[in-house]
Amino acid sequence: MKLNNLSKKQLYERAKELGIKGRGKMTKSQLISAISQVLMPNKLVEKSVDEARIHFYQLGYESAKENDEKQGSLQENIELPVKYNFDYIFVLPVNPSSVHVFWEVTEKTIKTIAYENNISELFLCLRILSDNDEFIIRNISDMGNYYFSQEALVDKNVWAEIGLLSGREFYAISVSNYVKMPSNYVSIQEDVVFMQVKENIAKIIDISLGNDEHRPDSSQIAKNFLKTIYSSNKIRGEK
Amino acid sequence: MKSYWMLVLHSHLPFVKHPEYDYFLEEHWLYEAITECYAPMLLNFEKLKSEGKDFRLTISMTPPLCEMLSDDFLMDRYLKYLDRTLTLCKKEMKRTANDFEFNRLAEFYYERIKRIKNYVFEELNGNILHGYRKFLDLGNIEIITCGATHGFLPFISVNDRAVNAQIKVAVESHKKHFGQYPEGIWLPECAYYEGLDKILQKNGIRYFFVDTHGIIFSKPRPVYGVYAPVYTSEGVAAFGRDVASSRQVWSSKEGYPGDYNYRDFYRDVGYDLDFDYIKDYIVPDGTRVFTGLKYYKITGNTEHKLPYNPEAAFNKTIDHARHFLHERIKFAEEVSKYMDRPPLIVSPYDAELFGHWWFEGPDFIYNLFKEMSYSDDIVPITPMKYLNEFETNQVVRLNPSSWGDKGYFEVWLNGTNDWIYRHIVNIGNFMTDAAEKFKDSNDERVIRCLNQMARELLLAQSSDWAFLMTTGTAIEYATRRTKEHIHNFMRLYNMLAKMDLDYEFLSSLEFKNSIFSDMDLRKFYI
Repeated sequence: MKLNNLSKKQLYERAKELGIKGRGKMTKSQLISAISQVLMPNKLVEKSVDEARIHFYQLGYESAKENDEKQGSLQENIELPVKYNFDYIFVLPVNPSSVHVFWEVTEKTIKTIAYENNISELFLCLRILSDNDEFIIRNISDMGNYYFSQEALVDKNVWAEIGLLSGREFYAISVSNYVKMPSNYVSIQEDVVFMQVKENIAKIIDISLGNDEHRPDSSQIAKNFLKTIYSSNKIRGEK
Repeated sequence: MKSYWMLVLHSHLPFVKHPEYDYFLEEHWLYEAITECYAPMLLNFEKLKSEGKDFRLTISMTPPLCEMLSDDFLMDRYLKYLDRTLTLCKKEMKRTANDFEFNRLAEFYYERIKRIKNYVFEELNGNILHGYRKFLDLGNIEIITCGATHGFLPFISVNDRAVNAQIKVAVESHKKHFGQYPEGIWLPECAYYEGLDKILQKNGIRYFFVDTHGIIFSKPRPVYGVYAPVYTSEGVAAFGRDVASSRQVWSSKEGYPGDYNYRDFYRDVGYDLDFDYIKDYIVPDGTRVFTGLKYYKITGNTEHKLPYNPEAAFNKTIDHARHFLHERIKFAEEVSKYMDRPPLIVSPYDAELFGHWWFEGPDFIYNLFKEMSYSDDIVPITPMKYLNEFETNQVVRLNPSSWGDKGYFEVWLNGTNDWIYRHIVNIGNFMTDAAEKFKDSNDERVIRCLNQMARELLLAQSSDWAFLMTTGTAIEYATRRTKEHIHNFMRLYNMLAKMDLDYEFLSSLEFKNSIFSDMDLRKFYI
């Protein structure tokens, strides 16, 4: 709950519920302070349950809003583009089984594709694909976003397309980035491989070679050779 | 068998600088963090050093934090903040003259703030980074970097070059502030996506950290669990967080900071005292805020708080340090039964919680290292020392993950903040396009414009804004900052496209959003 968002009257009611004495004489900020003192310990317990990821600015800055209001008035109307006016679609991972997709397609593209392919009825569709599945969300708008959740996405490569659907034919307008989804289980894969990363060897040989970046060819070749060894990082011990 | 313990403190605050206002509440995040966390921690390192105690830990210093800590304007304001607090302490010493317990607390704060002021502005010459550098040179700490502006990399990853810029700018900024390139990185929010290791490797990063399930769910399954690092196929090492030791410090059930002897966080003279008396030490518009002068201990589950006793609290940190150590040793013994090498316990925390939320936290760490120096069973270690000793580690494909609530990405992408990503992704792409298009330009004005676009993009990418929107703290500020940087970027981008540059606007942004002001950022986007 954000105390700062409440009116003084609401705060007073809250204080009454909590049995805070002297509430009638308090200013808004005093009410907030008094209520916080009663409520905060509980709030913290709640927060600290999950590994207690309380960040610095989550504590003690509940009064920030009034300040914002004051300063905000001096800086109103920060305009953001409503549309970017080109075709795009992006997929961002949310958790192992959900993605967030957002897109925009221009009227011009829709018309062009419809014209070129002789499509009369325009159904804009979102297609979400993974390594072995495909999901279609029909009748979406030309600009929007969508949360898609499906167990089948876990641990898969996922991407999305936006396009026109005509009968069974899908005409893609824009194809998204690829996302490797997180896993939520312990792998059964047991093929253990160890790697040795020995920077020191590379350094010592480098020093032996005179440690000069612009040396003549022969040492450069040696160095490059060395790089290939050390970047392939000697692999040992397959069980 | 001896085992290893790796303490990692992640120090970060978003870049907040408002020269356009005389007083700006969110700037106090920095002033309070220095006073309560960074300076007390460094002073305790000094103490350990003077007592001949060895200590080793890893500290991430994010680029925005370093930029702020070495910003003359902000440090000048910090000095004023300290002076104001000292005046309040004096005033409090007078007010409480007849009350022994409160009077000695007022004096306790006066002495404490005076010591910090002297340390930062005399001994460290006004730049607290000198303190970190000293212990870096002494080999007590390994300092690692973070994303340039703590950008949430899995969401920036739709554009490799934008991710690369977050890393590359960070690495260069680290070099500037600490005189050497970083070997490790704290990934912003511990967030890893598949493929990030390539970019890290390219930038000379040898190791990073992931949450427990980043390693536990990797493929193949890790033979040592999180008690040894793993390599990605690029040869970059990943260390995994130990859940038990994190819980010990922060959990509501077993956590130390809730001990009744410790200082109560919420009772502060900024809220407790008469308005007329305190009005010069809170927000000028009358909003009450914390002043840092807190006189009560947690006491118990009661509203009737008792006065704080610093000595008793300090003694408690000794008990807790011993307990923590004992628990780790017991735990390591158990784990080592299943391993053919000494287990490594990795305990990462937000640095600011030691001192801010847990006032006695820096003393806990001081006592922990002191206790550890008497023990042969567990040895503090830093990542490069470990990797030099254990060069051979298992190779896995790490699981994408973060250390946020539920372990994945929803804290930074949900209904409260998803609107920002349409813009962040698009302007990221515009940035790389523009940098490419004008890469051969020698026109000073074009270069300035591109560099300011990069600054606005980087600032918009800070994960802090999305986080604040989710948690419901300072939402308006977070929203405004996000919008402002996107807006500024688009205005510059359109100016550049039309080659119609508004210098007044550009100059005002260069002055205000001055992060990385001495870097030629545009080249990192090519």
